[in-house]
Amino acid sequence: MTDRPVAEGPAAEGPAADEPAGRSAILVARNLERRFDGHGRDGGIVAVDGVSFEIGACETLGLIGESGCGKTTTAKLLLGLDKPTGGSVLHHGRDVASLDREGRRTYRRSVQAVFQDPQSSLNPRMRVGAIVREPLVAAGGTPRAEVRARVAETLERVGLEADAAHRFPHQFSGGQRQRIAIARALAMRPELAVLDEPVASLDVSVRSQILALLKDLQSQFRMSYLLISHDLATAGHLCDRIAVMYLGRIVETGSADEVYDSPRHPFTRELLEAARFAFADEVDTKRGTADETAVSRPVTGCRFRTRCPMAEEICARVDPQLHAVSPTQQVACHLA
Amino acid sequence: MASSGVVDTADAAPLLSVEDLVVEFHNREGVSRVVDGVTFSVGRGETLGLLGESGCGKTVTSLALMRLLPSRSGRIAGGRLLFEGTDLATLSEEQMRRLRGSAISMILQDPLTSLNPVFSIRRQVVEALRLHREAPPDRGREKAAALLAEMRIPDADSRLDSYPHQFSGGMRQRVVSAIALAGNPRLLIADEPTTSLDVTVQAHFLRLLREIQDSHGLSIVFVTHDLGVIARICHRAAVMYAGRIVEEAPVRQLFAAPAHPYTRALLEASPRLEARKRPLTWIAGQPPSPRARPPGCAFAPRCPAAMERCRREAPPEIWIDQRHRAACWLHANGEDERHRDG
Repeated sequence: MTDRPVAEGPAAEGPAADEPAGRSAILVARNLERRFDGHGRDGGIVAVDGVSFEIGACETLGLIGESGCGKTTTAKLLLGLDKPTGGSVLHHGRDVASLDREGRRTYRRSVQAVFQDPQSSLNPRMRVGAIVREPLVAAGGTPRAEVRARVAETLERVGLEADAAHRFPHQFSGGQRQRIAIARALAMRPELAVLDEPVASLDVSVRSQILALLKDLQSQFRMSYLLISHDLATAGHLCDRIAVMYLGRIVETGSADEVYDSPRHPFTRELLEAARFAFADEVDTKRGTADETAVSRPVTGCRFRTRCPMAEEICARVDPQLHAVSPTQQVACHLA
Repeated sequence: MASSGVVDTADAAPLLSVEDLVVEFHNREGVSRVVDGVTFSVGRGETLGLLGESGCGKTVTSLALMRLLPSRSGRIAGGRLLFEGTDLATLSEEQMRRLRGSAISMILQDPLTSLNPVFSIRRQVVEALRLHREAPPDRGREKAAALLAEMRIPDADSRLDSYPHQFSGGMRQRVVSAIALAGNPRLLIADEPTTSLDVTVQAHFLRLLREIQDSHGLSIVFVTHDLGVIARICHRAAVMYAGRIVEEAPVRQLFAAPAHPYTRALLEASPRLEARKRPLTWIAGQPPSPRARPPGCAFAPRCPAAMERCRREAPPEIWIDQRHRAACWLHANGEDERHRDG
């Protein structure tokens, strides 16, 4: 059962019922839920509340939302760093929760992560070579000679010089450090890389360089990406599809073209407005959504209604469900 | 002496005028000239953006304005910092302390580290009000609530007894701003205040800052690496590279007709919504370290338009029109060229 991560790997079980035919999803999140119980007066919180999506081979799905919307919690559930309190993660059709030891090992190899801040995700006391080698050795199964060659090749592929392996993270610039973090994930030759705000901590002039590298590596290694971000401007350069999250739910999903060119949910429109290049006198201060201080989790109805400029009576009563507005675009809004 | 009305004309006496500022840092390896002859001014009610990448000297410039350079290693080695006609560089520490918060205030990138985690919001805001004698002892709470309400913090009075960790990032930045504005300063120095915020929260914060600016006649020096932020908040912007200002212009002009190849490259490299399908471009190479700047133009090694002369001679500042200048040989007129080459 050690099916090595091959891009076209057939699903072991039948695909999910709602899955479009003809494309095998690498990873499917089905109705994921993560509830954190509160203490005393604090009633707890449902950080991820029924989230479903799938990631196909060689595609990039953007999971976009503000801090606290549950996007990073969702990523942790996919990476196996946290367990869902409901729903499931399917890897090539198999429920990750029911995998045996060997299956989990294979799964962990094939899903890797790159985090926002390479300053804190890289061990400052380890040399770069050791940082990139560590996951390979930990996962086992790679002969020592091959490990060495793999580390050298990977460093080269991310654009670092050969002698980088002997240096420490602090000897590199922010952009180069992010290359090291990417190399560490890439060394495993994963099927899917979860990129959690990979360029947010970088200077603007370096951002596009790292985005271009990620794009390039994706086609070279036939990887899929889950990109987590709050910024549709940077996500636009990478994503094929977008899922917008608000307070634990996906409120809109569609192809990048659909979401960027014909957004249906008012929150998606706010995200686009905020990421747009605009001069002060073009920003309409009178209209638009309420600011983040109006965020609340209403007991009834739509979660976004407290900020929504269009909210109507029905929005307070009925919780909107995702419904299709095109074969590939879905939105959870009564008015869309 | 509080300024009230917003003066928009460039010709009025500026509130702040920085002339040929030089800042040096000393360490075991020698002296680094991190800021190397920076000149700019800020009018009343105006926002000037200082734009640049990490290490270009923009933060050091803003720290020099507050006279907050690390006293053991950094010093203002030249130039003048004229604030309402007084040279800040010549003031004693005691005189400077009286200006901080009441004439010039500062907000920084990470609001969480600017607030004390063990004191309530009320205590920290009231402390600032007392320090600047803006609140009599019995009216501290009331004044603090009013200040937070002005920063659009809902239920300000009931939230006064909260602690910083109970606030979101955007709300914390509003509290920090309230504290910075408690002493009614004329100048606010904002060093990447929105960099750690979500884009949506950032957009709302910038909008709020502009409203506060209009109602107070506040002048702002806004330091950032993000062109999108510059567009949203600034009237004028100065682009810094390797310790110098390479271009300065009103924002619209800077974006529509950048004169310096560095500004142009930055604009092209910024990930933008409307350009999401265009191939990504970036600036190859890295800025020079302060101790290894090339003899001519510091950008020449990375510049696609570099000429022989750029590598030999540092470019002078050239005024393209009354409000637009660039330090680039491309804009030297023919006469100057002939004169220089003999």
